[in-house]
Amino acid sequence: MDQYVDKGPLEEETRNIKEVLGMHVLSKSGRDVGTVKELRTDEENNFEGIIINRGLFKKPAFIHKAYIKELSPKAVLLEIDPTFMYYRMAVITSDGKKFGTVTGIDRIRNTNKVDQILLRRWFRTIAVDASEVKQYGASVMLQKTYERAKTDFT
Amino acid sequence: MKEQKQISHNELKGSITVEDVLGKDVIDTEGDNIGVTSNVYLNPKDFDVLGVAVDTGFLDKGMIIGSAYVREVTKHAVFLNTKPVYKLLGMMVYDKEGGKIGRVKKVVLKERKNEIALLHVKMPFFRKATIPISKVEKIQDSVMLNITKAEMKEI
Repeated sequence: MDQYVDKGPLEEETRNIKEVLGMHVLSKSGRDVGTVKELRTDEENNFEGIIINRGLFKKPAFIHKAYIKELSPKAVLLEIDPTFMYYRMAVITSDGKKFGTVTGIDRIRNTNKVDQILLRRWFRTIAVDASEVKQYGASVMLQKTYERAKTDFT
Repeated sequence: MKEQKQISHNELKGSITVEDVLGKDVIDTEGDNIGVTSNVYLNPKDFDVLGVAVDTGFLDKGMIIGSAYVREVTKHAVFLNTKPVYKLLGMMVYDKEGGKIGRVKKVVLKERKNEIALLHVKMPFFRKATIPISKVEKIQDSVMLNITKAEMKEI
């Protein structure tokens, strides 16, 4: 192959973008969050991020390169657990009682930081500030006990 | 025989009974509900709590969790200070680069504690692999190894 390079890597040192498309994307906690749909560049053709195909009936998500740990030969590894992973998770209080289910996440601008979570409790939607959350894991755990949460979050 | 100390009313106020433990949800460190307490085991000689039996659902064998793994008993749940290793069964195993290896088929424990010694992984085409815990980088939603698939063959 003829190579025409001024300042930059040779063909062997670069990567075929086609190989990345369709690759699985793993979150920080090791969950498969989708496959790579597109690689995005800015106007100067610098890599800016990826668009993830999250599956049927789910909106694709753009992940900026700052949140990408590695584009390995087999998968894209993320630095974060994207907030969309919290959808439909159970929300439990600090004393272990189920309080509701996550139906929405409000983020700070377009970052991965949670501003508030929206949860469904019976037929109501309640907004809970991110500072009220103790931990995110297999469920979202609140700082408050069930009795306190019942009176405070209305 | 243990020396009997006096029990104050205040101590009794803060204590719980076996009935308070039974039927409660059991929640691990990640906030996952793993089942419901079905029994409490006591040492007949010194009356110490040995552990709790957890009913993990219909057709499941259930398990007994030692009292050392219980962090707290609250009004609505029993919190553990560990993640039971049985939850690893069926979990996806990825290599260092995120390539799929297979699924966890069996977990070998260290002296019946909740500590992993080996993982038996079922791979495609009826292949199997045994992975020592030293080759595991982290265990969360999946098992991530600190080696590549090619390096696995050297184990």
